[in-house]
Amino acid sequence: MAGPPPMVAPSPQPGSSSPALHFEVLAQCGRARAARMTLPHHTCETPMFMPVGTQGSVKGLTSQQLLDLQCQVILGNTYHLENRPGAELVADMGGLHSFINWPRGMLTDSGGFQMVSLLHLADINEEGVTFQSPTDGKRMLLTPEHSIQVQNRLGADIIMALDDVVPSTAADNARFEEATHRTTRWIDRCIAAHSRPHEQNLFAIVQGGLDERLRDISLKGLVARNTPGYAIGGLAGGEDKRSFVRVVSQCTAGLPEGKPRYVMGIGYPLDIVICSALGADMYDSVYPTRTARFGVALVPQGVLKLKNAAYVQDYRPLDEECGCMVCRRYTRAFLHPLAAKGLPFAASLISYHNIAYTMRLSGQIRRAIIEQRYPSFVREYVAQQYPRGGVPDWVIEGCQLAGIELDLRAAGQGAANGAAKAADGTAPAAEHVPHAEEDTCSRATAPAASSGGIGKEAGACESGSLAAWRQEQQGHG
Amino acid sequence: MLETLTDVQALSLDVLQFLTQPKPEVLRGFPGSGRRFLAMDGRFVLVATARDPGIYEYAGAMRQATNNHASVTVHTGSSNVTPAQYMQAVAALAPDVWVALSDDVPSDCRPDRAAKAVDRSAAWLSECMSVAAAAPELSGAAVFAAVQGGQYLRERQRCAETMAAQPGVAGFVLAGLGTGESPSQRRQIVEQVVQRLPAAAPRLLCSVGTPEEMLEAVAQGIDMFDMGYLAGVTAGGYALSFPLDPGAQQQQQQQQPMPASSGSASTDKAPAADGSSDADAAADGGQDCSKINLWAVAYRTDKRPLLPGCNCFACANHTRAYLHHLLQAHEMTAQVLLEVHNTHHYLQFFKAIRASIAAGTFAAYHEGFLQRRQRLLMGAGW
Ligand SMILES: [Zn+2]
Ligand SMILES: [Zn+2]
Repeated sequence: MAGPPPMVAPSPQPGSSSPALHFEVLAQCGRARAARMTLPHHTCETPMFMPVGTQGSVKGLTSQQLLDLQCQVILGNTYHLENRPGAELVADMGGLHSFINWPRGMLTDSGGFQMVSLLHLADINEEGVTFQSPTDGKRMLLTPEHSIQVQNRLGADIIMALDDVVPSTAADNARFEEATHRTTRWIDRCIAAHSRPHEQNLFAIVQGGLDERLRDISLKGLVARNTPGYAIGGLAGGEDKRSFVRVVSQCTAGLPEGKPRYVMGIGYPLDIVICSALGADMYDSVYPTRTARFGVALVPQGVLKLKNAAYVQDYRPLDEECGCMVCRRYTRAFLHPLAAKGLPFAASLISYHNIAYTMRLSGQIRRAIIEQRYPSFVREYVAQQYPRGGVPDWVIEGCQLAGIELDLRAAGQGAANGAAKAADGTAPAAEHVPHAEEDTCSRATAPAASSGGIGKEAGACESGSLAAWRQEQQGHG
Repeated sequence: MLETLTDVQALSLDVLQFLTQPKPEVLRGFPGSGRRFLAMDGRFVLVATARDPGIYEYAGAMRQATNNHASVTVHTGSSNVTPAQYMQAVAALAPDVWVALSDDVPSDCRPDRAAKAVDRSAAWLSECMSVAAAAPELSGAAVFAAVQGGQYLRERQRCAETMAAQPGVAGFVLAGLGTGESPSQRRQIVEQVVQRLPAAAPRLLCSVGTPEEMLEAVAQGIDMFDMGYLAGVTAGGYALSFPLDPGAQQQQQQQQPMPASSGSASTDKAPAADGSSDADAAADGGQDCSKINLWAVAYRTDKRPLLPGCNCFACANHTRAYLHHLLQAHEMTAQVLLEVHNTHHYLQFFKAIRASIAAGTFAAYHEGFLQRRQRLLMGAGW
């Protein structure tokens, strides 16, 4: 990976140049950093959130709307796109950018995660991931070479190495050990198979479960391969959040300072705030759009469950500070019946706002870092989400790891599970459910959701009718 | 998306969606008007109608109507609504035009049922108008009366005469069509009803859709249409592709030799539309050659816009191949983009109709469509 010599500016900040990626840290504030990342299709400002367009469309939004929302990079899922319409067709159509008419950055995953999480019959050995084709039932093999070949055809700015994914909640230590070493062996095969290094950036994915020793082995092995950027994988799968922040903290500390760091599958706003405090730069999740399809809007205080009768005559915008197209035009009272009826129009509008919220949050994070006031931003953000105390332990620990002191004088500290804060319906804040509770809720409903054959991406509370609607929307997939 | 459709003049709203969820009080309580609550721009004429063509359930409406209330299809199923309840919702919407509640019956209902519908609709019109007279929100709004009567000419005539005799009615809706009557029955009904309506009053025809049907209705003196047809076309994954002026196109083609790329099979068959190809015709197979079916595998790798030459948002930004993929993947953006194109295309169609009327060439314009239909029928060997 001997790129051209970096354009050396007299700057004390870390950075790096690869053939298709230039990364430049603009400001650091504690462990958090704001950076500029130049990709073949877009120059991005980080930390950034990347919406997910699983099948070549961010659900409910057009690519023009994503541009209006200042999105910088969107994801495509290799597994889905290879199934339909097929990478070869996408290549014939001029690549994914041209096929979906998206001029800015794109990132595709390796397809391995979907295979392991969506298919019951996936079987992993040294050669690759063997799985049963969902279309014709034939046994097929996804190798590192094949994953990279498919991603080369799709043509995203950033492509991901095929890694040996083990759910972080799996108990078998030997399996984690094997997966860690295999992921390192596979990165060499990925690098060797990568045919477009001057147009696409291959990111390695740090594995190792929740084990500090294995994460360390993975970090050392992958850093030695000197890829243009790195992802932290194997998280966001339902592990306890204290382990989650410890692993992120260890990984960001062990990765090169001058290269981008991407925490996969992260989309809860508070997770983005904490991971950024720990020095991560990139995030992706279906959460903002998926939760929108259940009628849930993201706001600084937490979430609004718009199907709730509390909003029948609430003439405020979703978020008074937002100013997005939806917040300028529509009220909670307008959106309530649409969400309650489960209309696609509601899903589109709330998705639009939720992406706007997440993009605005990323911008606020960047500004706070550049203006050297990120610790106070984090303190205010946490206080807004937990106005009556009950800040979860993982948030406290994440901040400690980031060197940020939280203001915990509020009463009720220590219970830390937030369960005491049952909605009493009196104060306006009671309408808002902090993300931590949303989180708990999603875990509680996860088995029901996955039994419907839907993926295991971050979920949210849902009632029967909308779950059915979602299945209809996502069905056959 | 609506703002990309710069030729929109009026929006039609289904009053029945505002009876329960949201309740009229919710719209009323909003500081500003119901129209601002719905974020409907002031430049549109807002027409409040009693039936959403998108969710209308055939014959559902007549199930449980009595002299006191209509039975209507709402999101949750059927529901009863009295003229007073209906007018509450109308007042909350504060539209420019509102259609009086009527007893909506399908064409093939029994004659006594059709007669009852006429009586009820006339009574409800008076009731709606007396409520409206007391509602300050509706002081500037125009009322349209609905002409019912099923397929029975006598009932249609009686209804038209009764409604036309009611003072204060600004326009008329030819309701209950598109429910099983034959084209010739519909032609007769429209003719008989229009004859009995005041010449200066606007006439709105519901649930009629294809370009040829609309042209015929325009020729018969219809001024306004709802867009129910577009909802069905869009839901089916179709993009409208009929030429906006087939007569002019035909003349052009006669002057220019056919391009070689049109293929051998097309020598005895006229092209389906501007820039369309054999593949379009094949994918359109069995259809009326006024639209293309984006579900068809023929579009899998088609890099052209939905309709070459169309300047709508969807055509300016996306290919047929992408739309085909979005449909296959059950992505809701497919419906959004198709709706934008189809609405845009129909708005252009109506612009062309108005222009031809203004220029005094409507008959020739209409004839261009009829001849195209003739050529298609012959070309397809039907
Ligand atoms: Zn907003
Ligand atoms: Zn178009």
